Parts: sequence; structure tokens; C-alpha cells
Amino acid sequence: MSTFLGMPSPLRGEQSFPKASVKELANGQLRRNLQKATSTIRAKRAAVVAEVPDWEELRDAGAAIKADVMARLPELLEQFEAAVTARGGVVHWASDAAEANAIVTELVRATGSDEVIKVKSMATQEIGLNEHLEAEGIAPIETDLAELIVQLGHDKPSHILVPAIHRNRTEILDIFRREMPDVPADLTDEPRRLAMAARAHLRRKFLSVPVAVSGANFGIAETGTLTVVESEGNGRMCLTLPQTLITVMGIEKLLPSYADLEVFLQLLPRSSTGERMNPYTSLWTGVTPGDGPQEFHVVLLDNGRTNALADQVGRAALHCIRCSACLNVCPVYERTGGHAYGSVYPGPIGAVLTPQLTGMQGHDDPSASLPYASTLCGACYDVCPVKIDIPALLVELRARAVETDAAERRLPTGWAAAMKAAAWVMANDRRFAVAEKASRVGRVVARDGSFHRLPPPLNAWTGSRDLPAPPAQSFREWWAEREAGREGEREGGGDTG
Amino acid sequence: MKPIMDQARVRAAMLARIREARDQGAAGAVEVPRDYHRTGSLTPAEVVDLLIDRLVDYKADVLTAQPDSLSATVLQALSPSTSVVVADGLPAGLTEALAAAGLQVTVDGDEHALTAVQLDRIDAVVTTAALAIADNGVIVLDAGPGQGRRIISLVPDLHVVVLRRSQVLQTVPEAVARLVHDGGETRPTTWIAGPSATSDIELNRVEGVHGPRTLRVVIVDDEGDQAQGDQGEQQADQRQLGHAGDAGDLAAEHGTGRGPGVEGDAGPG
Repeated sequence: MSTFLGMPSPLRGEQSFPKASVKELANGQLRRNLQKATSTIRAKRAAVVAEVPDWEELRDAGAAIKADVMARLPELLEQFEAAVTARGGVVHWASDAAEANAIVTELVRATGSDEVIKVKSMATQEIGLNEHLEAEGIAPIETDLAELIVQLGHDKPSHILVPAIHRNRTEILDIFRREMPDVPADLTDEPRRLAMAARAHLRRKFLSVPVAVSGANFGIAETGTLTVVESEGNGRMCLTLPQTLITVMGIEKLLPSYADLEVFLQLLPRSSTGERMNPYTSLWTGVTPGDGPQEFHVVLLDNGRTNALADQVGRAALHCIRCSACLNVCPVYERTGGHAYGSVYPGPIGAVLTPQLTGMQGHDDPSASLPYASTLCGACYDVCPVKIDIPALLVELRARAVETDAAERRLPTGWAAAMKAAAWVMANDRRFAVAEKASRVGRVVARDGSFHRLPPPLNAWTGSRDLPAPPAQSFREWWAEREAGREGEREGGGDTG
Repeated sequence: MKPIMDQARVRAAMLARIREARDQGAAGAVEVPRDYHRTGSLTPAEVVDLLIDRLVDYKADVLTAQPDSLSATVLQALSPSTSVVVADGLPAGLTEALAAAGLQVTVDGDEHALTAVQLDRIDAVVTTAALAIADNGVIVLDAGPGQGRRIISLVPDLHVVVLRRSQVLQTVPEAVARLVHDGGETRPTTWIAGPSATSDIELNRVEGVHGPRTLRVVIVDDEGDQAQGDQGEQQADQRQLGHAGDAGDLAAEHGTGRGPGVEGDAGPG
């Protein structure tokens, strides 16, 4: 099997999901950390969602508002741009990661600072902004605790909301001891002590660095207002203290009107952190004289979003508000963790969003393996605050991956040939009965009721699973026998009654 | 500053691509069903009780006051701070009362805007609020009178919020409607739900990270509405100050000396 020849990026790993997950699954510590974290947050979410009597009505409204945004996206973007500009902000447009990175770098340079403080942001992770800034001699400082843990650990984020979810307290203590220059000598692995060490470490940066980069949870087209939802206050620090603020926002993050916040500020916190409300939500519009950054830029990012928008089915993935509820309920994510997906967007939503952002370039593209990283159990759809039907999207993308594959190969694959043959057999009752009888021959070579290894080309199946041996009697035969017996019983019963 | 790169070209190309992509799916406005609850069904007294319940759950401290006991209650909430920053527009006489009690009071304003470094040396901040939401325990600041610039309610380690009972609404849609009605959409606005916190380490919630580590909310009866608060309720709410003990231990542990001391508080600590 050949390997994917394209460039790995923050959206595309080097290995397919099945290969990458084998490595992650071997890490017992990771699985313990994830199991504990996801089960905790699942319970919290369930409790705070259950106390909202109109939760389903809020989901319906959220889904419709997002569908409306996609249907009017060009007009809403222009409205947003006009509103931001009218309030003293500057709007930049970036088609891809390279353009966005160039714009942000130039804006940071203009401030004269060689450091920039950062609010946790998926958009800037997606474009690899930190790596780009470092290469340009600018030090990006992540200020969210989990992002700081990832950054100091020279690691990659593995969860949308809690990027260091794969680390436990002892690992975090080790990272702080190793990487934090001003680490307290008596630091322990108590979460409170670790958080206080991060507070002390970042306080000086907040008070001195003149430029910040943020993402945005929502941008209001009507007013030009931007929203960042956070917990620690690092967001408020970055959004309030520096002279210059640069916000990188995906084009799909718009909401038509300010009043729409009444829906999303209810849906998001309960779905994501499992709290009634996150501690801090900041809303700002352009520049307010004397209050907060006096220079404000917003970079509107496409980076593949129009690929998804052009797809009538796939565009629903753009409704995602990055709450991560689908990760926390996913039986696959809980076991493999986020790194196996190779994308900054892991989990169920990542498996539908990533392939659409990057495109699926043939069988060896890791992105093409992501739609299969699911059991299609549907738990993700149940918890999605904007009702994205992730299982349906996964099936659609699987179909597309197969079509792309088929178009690439002249000869049908063994798999395709086998499926075609099976369809012919199963379409006819008599043919199927004959096939059932014939399959019983296999019982001779089966061991412990299973085939562990079949000869080629059937080893493609048994390479990763056992195949149960055919039963001595098939279900259909058993059923026919049973029904025949019952007939007799009923007739007999008639005699005595 | 001007947009950089060939922005006119990039913008036009991007918008054209977005338009083309959009037109491949459904275009035109989508009907949004808004069948969720807009208004609540609780009485005003129940709404305030619900807010208190939510705030206490977030580990915020809650005190209640009558208009004539407001200054004394705010002073109690400020304990053991020695310096405090305020903005113009606090309830009449409150700023003077804080100074008269021996606190070092700095008024932040247009003529005298404090820097972040200066604010970092001040123990506490007292602000009013635009409104509060009971359902999810939120206090909204929107730079209105008594609230000041965003920076003053962020850098000091103790935030005392003075809230009138009539400012407490039950639902989020009620709150958003009020903010829009008051023309607040474009004002810098902060929704606060408890002291700063993180759950980034094994999803254990730790209160107090970068924002104020202690949040105290003083709920005061509206003028001419004295009957609302009674003595029993005040005592009940002051019990909730017991949470302050945790924060006090934490501050002592780190030698900041800024956390609320147990002596100054009414609770058992």
C-alpha cells in the first residue's frame, strides 16, 4: 500500500485513522485519562441539559439559524464587514491558511512586538499560526491553561474544548517542572496548585505584551459584534489589556442578529463544559475609545469552508459551534483520543468536517479514512446542540470515498467484486438457500467455531477480525422447521378444543 | 491602518467563491422556529432566590442589603482589602462611604485612566451591573454607569458587584431583549458567571485563575421597596460566605495576602 504524498497539515495527519489509532490504543495511560474525563463531562452535560425544559426548541432554533446563515452567507459577511468598519475595526479576507498567517504576521510586526498573547482558538490552530509566527521570529504565548500545557509539552491538542484532556495531573506537573522557568519549587500535582502556577507565569505577560490574537465563537452580522466564550479570564485579559487585538474567525461563525445570542449562549455552555454558563463571555464591537484595544482587526478565514458549503449535504458540518459534546459521547473517540484523527478537529464532527475542508484525495489520503472512524451509533447526533446529523454525513462521505476510489481504479477491487456477487446471491431466495448450504462446507476447517485466518483474497477480512464458522443449521432452516412444528401443534390443539 | 496584501482582489475572489458555493445548495432566508421560552414564570422573589442559588453553586459569595445598609454591606464584602478601584456612577454616597471607612479609593475615569500595572496593585473593585439572569446565574456588565472600563473589573483579585433586585431577570431571552432595548448591543459587554475558573486538569473545576479569584454579589432592595428583604433572609445569605474560607486558604498558601480573611467574614470559614 502506498502512502499519501500530500503535505501533512494541522488538518491532515500522516497516517490513516486505523493506523494512527493502533498506536494510540496501545497507550493505557491515555485511555484511562480519556475514560475518566469523558465520563465526567458526559454526566455534567446530561444534568444541566435535563434542567432546561425547552432544550429541544432551542436546538431547533439553533439548527435553523445556522442553516439561514449558510443560505445568506455572502450577504451576511458583507453586512458584518460594514458594521465592523463603521465601529473602527479593520476587516481582512483570507482564502487559505497561508494568507491568514501572512496577514496576522504583518499586523503583529506593525506593533513592534516580538511576542503575542493568544486566546485558545481552533481557527488559529487550523492554520498553524503558532508555527508560522515562530518561524517569523515572533513568540506566540498560549494563555489558556490546557493550550499552555500542550505548548509547553511540545505536544498536539487532542480535544476541541480541553486540548490537554489526554494528560493527567502528574504528567502536567512534570511538564511545568521541565518547561516553566519560574515554576514554584514546591509545586505539587494538585489541580489548584498547578492552575495557580500558570496564573503567576502568565500574569506578567498579560500586563506587558501589547498585541493579542483570538478566535471568535460568534460574529454578529447586524452589529459587527464579536463574542468569545471562556472560563479562566485569560480571554478577557487578551481581549482587554493589549493595545492591538487581532481576531481570526472562520466565515461560518456568523449569526444574523444580536438577539440570536439568546439561543447560542444557552446551547453552547451546557453542551461544551456541562455548566449552566461558562464564567466569562466577552462581547465587543470594533473599537471603544478609552476601553480595551484601540486597534482591532478581524481576519475572515475560508480555508476550505467553501468546499463544504458547496455540498448540499456536507454544508451542515459548517453549523458546528465547536462545543465538543460529540467527542465526549463518542465510543471511538473515548478509546483512541484525538491524536489518531490527525486533524485539529477530532471526534465525530472532525470526521465529517476535516475531509470536507481538505478534500479527499484518493484512497491513501488520511482524510479519506476519517468517515470510517465511527460505529454510526448516533450518540453524537443526540447531543449536538445544532442537530447536525453526523451519522448521515459520515455515511454520505463514505459513499463519496468509495466512488472516488472506484473512479481511480480500472479493475474492481476484491471487495467490490465480492459485494456484487453477494448482492446477486441475496437478491434471490433460492440462490440464497443454496449458498447457505454450500457455506456449511467451511465448518470442516473452522477451529473453536471461528475462522482465524482465511486464504487470500479472503484474508483481507480475517486480517483484522475472526469470522464465525457457519452454523450447522441456518436461521432460515430453523425458522421453517419451527413453523412446520407449530402448524402441527395448532392442528392437534383443534382436536381437543 | 489599511488592509494588507491585495485585499480587494482576495475579497472579491473569496466572495465570488462563497456565492457560487452557496448557490449550489438552498439559498434564501430560512424560517427560524422560535418556540423556546422567552419569559419565565417565577415571581420576582423566586427569581432572586434562583439567582442566589446559581451564584452560590459557582462559588460566588452573596450578601443582601437594604438601601440604608448598602455601604456597610459593601464594606463587609470588601474585607480584608485595603485598596479599591471604582468608576463614576456607583449608588449615591457609596464611594464616599468606602473612603470614610479608611479604604484607599481610586476613581478610574476618562481623566484618570489607570494602567494594568497600576490596577494590579489594587486589591478590589466595586461595580454595578446592567442586569442579572437567574436561570444561568449570569451578571452582565455593559460599561454603563458605575461599571467603568472592562479592565477595572478584570485585573483586581476581588470583584464586588452591587445589584438591585429589580435588575434580576429570569431568562436569557429576557436579558438579551433588555440589552437590545437599552441600546447595549455595541457596548463592550461581559457576562460573568462566578469567579474565573478552569477545568483543564482532568476536568476538575478550580475556581480562580486569571480573572478575579473572588466574586461577591451584593443584592440590594430597590429604593422604596424595603419590605422585600427581611432579617432571616439576610442571615441565610451570609451563611453562604462560608465559601470565602476556601479562597482565603488559597491566598494564604500563595502568600498574596489578598484573599478574604476569615475574621472579616460573617461565615464560619
